[in-house]
Amino acid sequence: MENFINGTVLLFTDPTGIAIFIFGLFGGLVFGAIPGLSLLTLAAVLLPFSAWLTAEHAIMLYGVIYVSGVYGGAITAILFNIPGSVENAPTAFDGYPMTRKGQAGKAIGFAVTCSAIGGTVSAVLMMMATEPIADFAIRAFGPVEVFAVVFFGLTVVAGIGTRSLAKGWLSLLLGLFLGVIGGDPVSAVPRFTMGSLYLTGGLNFVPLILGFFAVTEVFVQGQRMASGTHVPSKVSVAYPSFKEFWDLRVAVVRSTVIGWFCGLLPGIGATLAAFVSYNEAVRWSKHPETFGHGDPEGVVAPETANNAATGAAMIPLLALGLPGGALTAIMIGVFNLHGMDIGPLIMVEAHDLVWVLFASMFWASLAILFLGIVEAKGIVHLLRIPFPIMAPAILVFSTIGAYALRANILDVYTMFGAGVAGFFMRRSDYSIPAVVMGLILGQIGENVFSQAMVMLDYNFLNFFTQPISAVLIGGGLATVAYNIFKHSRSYLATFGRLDETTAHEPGD
Amino acid sequence: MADRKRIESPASRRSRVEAVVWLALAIAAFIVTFEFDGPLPTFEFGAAFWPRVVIAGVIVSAGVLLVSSYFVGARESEAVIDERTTDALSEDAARVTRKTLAIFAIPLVYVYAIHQVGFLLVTPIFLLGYMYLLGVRGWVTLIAVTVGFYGAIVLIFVKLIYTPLPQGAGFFHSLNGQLIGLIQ
Repeated sequence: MENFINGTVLLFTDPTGIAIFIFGLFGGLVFGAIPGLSLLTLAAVLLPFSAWLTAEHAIMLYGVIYVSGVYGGAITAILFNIPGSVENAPTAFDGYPMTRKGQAGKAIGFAVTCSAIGGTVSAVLMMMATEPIADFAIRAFGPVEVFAVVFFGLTVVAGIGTRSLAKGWLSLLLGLFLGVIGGDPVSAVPRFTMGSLYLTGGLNFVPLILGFFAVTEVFVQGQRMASGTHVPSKVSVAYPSFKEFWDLRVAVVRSTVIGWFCGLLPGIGATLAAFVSYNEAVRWSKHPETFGHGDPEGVVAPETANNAATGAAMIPLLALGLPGGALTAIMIGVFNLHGMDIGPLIMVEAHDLVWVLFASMFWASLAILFLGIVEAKGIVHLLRIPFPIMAPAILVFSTIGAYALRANILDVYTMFGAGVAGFFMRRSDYSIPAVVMGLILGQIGENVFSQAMVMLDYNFLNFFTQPISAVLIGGGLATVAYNIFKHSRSYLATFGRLDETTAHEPGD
Repeated sequence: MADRKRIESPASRRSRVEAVVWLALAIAAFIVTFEFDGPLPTFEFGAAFWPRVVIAGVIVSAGVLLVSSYFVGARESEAVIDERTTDALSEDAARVTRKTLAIFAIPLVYVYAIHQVGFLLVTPIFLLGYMYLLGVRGWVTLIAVTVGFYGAIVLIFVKLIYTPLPQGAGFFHSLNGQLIGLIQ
């Protein structure tokens, strides 16, 4: 506690520190929210400037940007179906349908409150348990367990956003297939590249996500305008009530736990957290069919989890020197710029500095709550901008976002290709969320699968010799079996009713 | 008899066509996997294993779709489609008109144009044209929104954070380069 108070005092007794805190908070929100501007852009742009700041201010700035930026991407995902970053993609699955139903204020309210809860709990756990938990997580979660987590998550995806199980599975498998294009993860053997140098590097998921969400949405709404069936989103600033939050308490706790443990895994933290948490929300829901159509739990789960991952990502970073993602890797650079090597000794050598980082992330998570409540009342008014004005703006932003990634025009073509494909898939009741989940989790899954099989002597049954993977793989298989049983029963019941109707119809 | 007719709805016919297309694509993809199916020194299943598992899944799911398409009409008759929240579009909304085609085609022309002529020169024309296509008719609104939005983009992405933007080809590449130099 004393360390935390000292860290807070170091942060807020200096006007420059307060100014940098506020700048980081707003900078993260804006850069996290707008496609084409990412947290990494801001972090990279600020890196040279951070050399001019004191070590405390520089580290605090990056901690605050990380926390606020992960939340920022939820705003555009909810209002315009444009996830600001990959870890906000599942938020769009239900956040945007809530906006279409006139519940944008509630969706943002859920997102902001749960981001704050996830971030704050994560920051507290980070302060309490950095060293012992980092040690446990790194030992207990190897490729075998991570693959089991991915498999477990994928098994519920097929039921999201479609009424047909077969189409849900085909959507998921399409996503998995798109993730396969390019070099294989072991030896970079080109697959399905058709001799194209562009495809050899694999399809990047940022243009695909922008295409499947933003461009598809413009096409769908554009066609509705052309056919006279367009219904503008209703503007509502109603904030969720306490009862609505209370009803989702289990989801918040579950997502915090999932987000926190996923955040510990280097390289895949917040993204895996958001997707797995969404999948588990579907799995444990009494009404899984409402997901993808504006279920508040579909906003709460990923937003709690991706923010819960932020504090957890600091643990392997600080305790072991393992970055959880690109932004945490840049943070290593910030430490280095100020003459410190990150790793197990950092808690001793730069004790005060680490506590400044912990305190800044804790206060940033709380600040999101207050900022977000104000924002929820104001930012939904963006929906008053008519669609004909928003549509070209969305397409231009998406174009910049896709191109800026690698300065490659083929990424823009890929994005529009995904947009057209997404339009036709939505028209035929395929699930865009399942495609995106397949793409993201498939790329992670194949990578760890190849490592896991080497460790398991290429014997699939060995997955059941490790307790964590045995439970997760077994649970995944049970989910698949249950879904097949449920849908088969439903089809047979429908067919039975039809036969009865036909049999009793006079004159047939 | 009426219910029997519903089973043969356009939706079930479409599902059948889709299932056949999926199966054809899966078989084609499976054949392509033989180009890279050798074992790898560090992974004996080889590079083709994971794609083949995915393709097998597609074949099974497409088969299920084909069989279940005989039930689709009945299921759709029971479902109430809410246009605002469901991904499926009603037949009315799915009607293709010249305007619909333009809504698709203009963004694709825009991408080709920024590739050839450059982002800075083409974007204001696209903003103006797409808004007009979608029904904005007031010239003051058209010009004010185009100038305001384009100005903000140039300020943020070109002037402040040096985001790479397509510069076009040939003569336009150097022209855009000079423009960017002037702005920065």
